Amino acid sequence: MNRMRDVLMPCWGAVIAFLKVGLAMRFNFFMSLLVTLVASWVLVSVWRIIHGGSTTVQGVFGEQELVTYVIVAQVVNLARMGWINRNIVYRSLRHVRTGQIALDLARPIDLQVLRYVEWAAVFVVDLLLVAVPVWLVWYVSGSLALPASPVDAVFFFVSVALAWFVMCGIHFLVSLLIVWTYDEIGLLMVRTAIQEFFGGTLIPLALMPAPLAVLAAIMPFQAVVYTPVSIYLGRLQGQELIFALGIQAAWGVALLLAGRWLWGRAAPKLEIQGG
Amino acid sequence: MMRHLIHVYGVSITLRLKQYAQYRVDAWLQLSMRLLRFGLQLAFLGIAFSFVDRFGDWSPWEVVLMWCTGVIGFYIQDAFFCFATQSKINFYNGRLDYALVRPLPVFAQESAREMPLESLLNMVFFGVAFAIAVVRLGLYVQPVTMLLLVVALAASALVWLGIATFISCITVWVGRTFSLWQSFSALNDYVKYPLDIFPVPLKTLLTVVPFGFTTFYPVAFALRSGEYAWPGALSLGVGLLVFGLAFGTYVLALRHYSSVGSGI
Repeated sequence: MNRMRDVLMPCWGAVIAFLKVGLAMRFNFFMSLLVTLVASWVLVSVWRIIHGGSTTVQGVFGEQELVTYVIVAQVVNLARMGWINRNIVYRSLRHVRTGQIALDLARPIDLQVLRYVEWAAVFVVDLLLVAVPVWLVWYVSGSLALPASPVDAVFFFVSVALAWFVMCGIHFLVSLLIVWTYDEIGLLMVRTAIQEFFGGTLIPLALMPAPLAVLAAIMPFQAVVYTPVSIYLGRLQGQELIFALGIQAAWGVALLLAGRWLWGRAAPKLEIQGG
Repeated sequence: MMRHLIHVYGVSITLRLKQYAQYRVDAWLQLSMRLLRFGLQLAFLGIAFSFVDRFGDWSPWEVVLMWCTGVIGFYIQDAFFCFATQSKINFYNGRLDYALVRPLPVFAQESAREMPLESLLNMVFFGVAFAIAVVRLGLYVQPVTMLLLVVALAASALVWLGIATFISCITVWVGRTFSLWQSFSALNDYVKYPLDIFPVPLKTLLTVVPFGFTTFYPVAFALRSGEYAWPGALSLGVGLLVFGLAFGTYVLALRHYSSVGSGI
């Protein structure tokens, strides 16, 4: 019992500390909110044009369904540019470059746990200050449909939580790659581009050409955006839904273990004086 | 003075390119990553145009031309005038003293200090796509249109240079402006479409801000000058105005600058 408390207390302390940091950075989140609103407005307009001119797209999505997809994908886009990305990725990468990671290693929490805890706090702040306001603005404007059913709404939130778990795994792996590449901007840009493309943020995977859809299906990014949005729209039901949630959980665990393994390889290569 | 400045600029950039050549593995890695990102950006357009023939009135290659103009303008600013974006760090930390004591204009010497490989590579990739679009649209046989496209690139670069310089310089008064700049640059990914396909409020917003003058208006004027005469013809003027205002802010910021910076 005491051992459990010894593990959980530092984690709780870290969550509170990171929550306070996040809430203190309100202006950053406000800018992130504006960017997400404009980006979703642009994408909704573009997809409305595409929907209006394509019977193929009309065969897959109704107009309101497609608009709802585009907006909810922006709402749950955990790879969005803004403070969340900068804080998560740059900070971790800078710690490796400057050698500040030595301080993280001296803390009474395992580095991977510390990162997941930090990102949980950032995720909660982003949810409160960006995701929910964007959803509300679009809902009030009348363009956004509610979740297909109350049950879908519950599973949607479960799926978003699992998406965060998967995202933490991706963040952790990317933040370790700098030990070899020393190029944080390139890594961040590529991860964002790949994630937005293959995660279904820009293009619903149901509309992707078959080879790209297959590629997206075997990557973890669809578990971050496409799965929660599909659940929101009620496109996944019964066994399919449980299977999709299982896939998300499996990706989360696989990335957690991959991160553990890579950290084992990266740690001996760290230069405490930076690199 | 100008000759000396160009010489310093040339030497600095040559040294930077030599440095990239020495770190071949890093350069190749960066090249691959940027190529991948570039491919994914254009793949989005490719997929969109597999469903529709046109965006509003605009053919795929016309839209590619708009995308490329916006991106190249952005990266001209970032590659050749990096002080515009990076000076906010100097203003914030109070590290501009080093440049202030040298006998060259601060803006020029600080811009010559760095030439991000990221920006160079993006300029090359999107430059190739721009050239392909020009060929596919048959514009290379129309000298006036080609000249207007060069003006479009200049207008785009000037607007971005103005936005970047302004955001950096207000650091002197308001403190950190990193998220403001990051937000503007992030929007660059979303504002490269023809504005006339958007609803009026969004079109107005993107005209006032003024992203429309980095892509749509100058290119639309080059391609169809009759339909977009006013905003298109004004693009270069808007670019000069935005940069002029930003440069005025820069001069004021230098006067207000103190070595301790604004980040304390």
